[in-house]
Amino acid sequence: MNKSLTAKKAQRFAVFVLANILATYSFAQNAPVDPASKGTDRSVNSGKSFLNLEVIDSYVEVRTGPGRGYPVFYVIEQGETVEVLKQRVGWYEVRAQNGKTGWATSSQLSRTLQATGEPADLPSVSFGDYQKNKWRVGFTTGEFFDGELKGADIFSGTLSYRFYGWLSLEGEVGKLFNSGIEGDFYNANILIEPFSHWRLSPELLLGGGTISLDSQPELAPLGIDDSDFTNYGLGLNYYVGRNFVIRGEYRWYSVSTDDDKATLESWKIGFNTFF
Amino acid sequence: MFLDNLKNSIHHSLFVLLAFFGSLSSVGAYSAEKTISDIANGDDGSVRIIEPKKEVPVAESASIDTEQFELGLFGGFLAVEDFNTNPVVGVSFSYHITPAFLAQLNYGESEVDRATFEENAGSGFNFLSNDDRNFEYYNILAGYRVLRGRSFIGRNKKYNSDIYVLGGFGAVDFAGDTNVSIVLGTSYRVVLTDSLVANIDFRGHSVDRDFLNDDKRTFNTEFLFGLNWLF
Amino acid sequence: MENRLQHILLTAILIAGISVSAQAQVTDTSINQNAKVRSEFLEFGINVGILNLEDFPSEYTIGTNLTFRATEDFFLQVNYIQASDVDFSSAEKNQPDPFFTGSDRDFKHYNVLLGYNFFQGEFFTAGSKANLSTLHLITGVGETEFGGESSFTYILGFGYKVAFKRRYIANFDVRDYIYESSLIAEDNTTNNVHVSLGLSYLF
Repeated sequence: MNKSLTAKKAQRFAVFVLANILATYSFAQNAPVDPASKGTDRSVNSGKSFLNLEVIDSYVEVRTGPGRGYPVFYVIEQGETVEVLKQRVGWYEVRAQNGKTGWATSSQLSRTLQATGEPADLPSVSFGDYQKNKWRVGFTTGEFFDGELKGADIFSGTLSYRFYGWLSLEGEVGKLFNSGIEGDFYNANILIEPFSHWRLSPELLLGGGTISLDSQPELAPLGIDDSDFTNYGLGLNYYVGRNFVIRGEYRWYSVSTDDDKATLESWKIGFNTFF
Repeated sequence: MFLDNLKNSIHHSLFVLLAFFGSLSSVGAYSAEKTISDIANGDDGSVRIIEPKKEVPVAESASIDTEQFELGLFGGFLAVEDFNTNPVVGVSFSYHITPAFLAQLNYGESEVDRATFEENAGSGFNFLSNDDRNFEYYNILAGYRVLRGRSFIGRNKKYNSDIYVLGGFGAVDFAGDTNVSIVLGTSYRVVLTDSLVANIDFRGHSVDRDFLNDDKRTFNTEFLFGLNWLF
Repeated sequence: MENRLQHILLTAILIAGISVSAQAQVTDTSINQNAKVRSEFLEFGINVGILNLEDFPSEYTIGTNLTFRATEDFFLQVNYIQASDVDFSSAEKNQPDPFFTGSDRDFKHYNVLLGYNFFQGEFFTAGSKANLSTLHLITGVGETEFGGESSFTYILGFGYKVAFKRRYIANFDVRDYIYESSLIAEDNTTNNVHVSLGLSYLF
């Protein structure tokens, strides 16, 4: 018994060593140089055609990486054209006429012209998109603030669909944890957001669902177990930019148990994102 | 007993290290670069170029160039198998053999809290004496620079930085048992100034332990932040 | 009380993080009229590691994750890790019966994390070829299942990523899973240190 365990340990250690060596090896190997990054041979990419834009700003800075800290190693001048290769958050990878490849900010690149002479069509992801978008996905975390489950930690995932600017339907799946208790809850809610065009906008939430609780080991019987509940809540949405909305909420629950009604309260904070 | 063990393990480690580095006979040779004026005033002295007075200041970032030794202090956390995670502090001494290789001596210690099973046994009963609660280690490691590069914070701050893989041997003294350990680790090192290097390290100490009649190989994880003075 | 403080702190970090980054990105644009520009926002990764469980032995883990690069500075990550058949601790071997057996000895954990790129960086392999890298700090919440217990878990950690090829990224992570466990003693706060080495693909 003991011996086999030791052997197992030894084997695991060997795997760890191997993993380390492999990692080292893969770095030590000289990664093949991407022809695009050298840019001396443009015919390599002749099969693909990229978006071409003409620079109308006095210059566009080209950095070695997609981040503000990376050094500027080249400057594309006014009148030159650039090929746009890839997009990362806030940055585009571009290739200058002489083949130099690097990263330019999307704000600088938005001030360019297309081959037709029209301004580059670079719509930004903005508040308007948030309002137009129907589907949202979110994540929240919080705590039961009062009632029988006081102090229990919560997290949940949400999916919502916006019918009108002011009306959405949301489904939520969550988990809760307390000393000796764990549970799941599911609910569906109507969200009423009368001023959804405001950056900071309040919302009212009405709905209901099911909560099921399990005792963790070593615990006395619970007051509530599998139960239905109705809930209402007040929330605040704040659009922070891009496709993110911060969301805070306070909610009251009325849980029907076998012989009685129990009340719960919770606060939650999280974010919503749309695509 | 402990000292003997330690001596043995250090002797052993030194031997391994020597063998390891002995096989790497390449030591980089550096030649001083010629300046423009050296070339201008060539050996025959026939050509003379007048250099402009205005010189563009060369911005050089801090680097490990002439310095060969490092003295370091570190602090972090050590997770001990079957026990818990506690702060660890220690000192280290590194020698840069070549730009790519270094040898490192470490000493660290951590006071291991009573494990939950010990708490359950009641306060009167001690599985370990106070001395044995101290997780104390020495080791000698060889480091290989896997990656050489730069790190940036914000728009203007730039630091030379390296990633090293470390491996070696040492001794661990814990729970009344001293044994040879195998140590593996990684180090992310950032050159802050010409004489100061910050490092974020992970080290895994694999060591045999005979405790409560259970003789087994334990794996203890350590992560730490260090500051090293170069000289 | 301590719990609430942790919660508030974590929340503050989350909000500050997303706000600051999103503010900076309000002017961000995307070329969407032309499908030829591919975007690279998502990373899928796998990893192997070692988990030092408090009061239990260390164990090998395997894991998988999905990372969404929200902004230049912040990313969101969903993780799942598992360690099968955690060994008995020395203390367990010394008592008539172990604390628990069977499938309860499997450790399962998932989480949602927010990472902040503390360092942007580049490393050189061949000549002047730069491999993009970051060193990040990370925090979040999740769930841990071990010993027949499910626990709300806070995560704190750091790690670094190096793209050794354009789309292949090596990951090194050290994370602490902090949760309350009543397996051995009532409401004992445990720190479980996880070290992992992974590979992810950016698409």
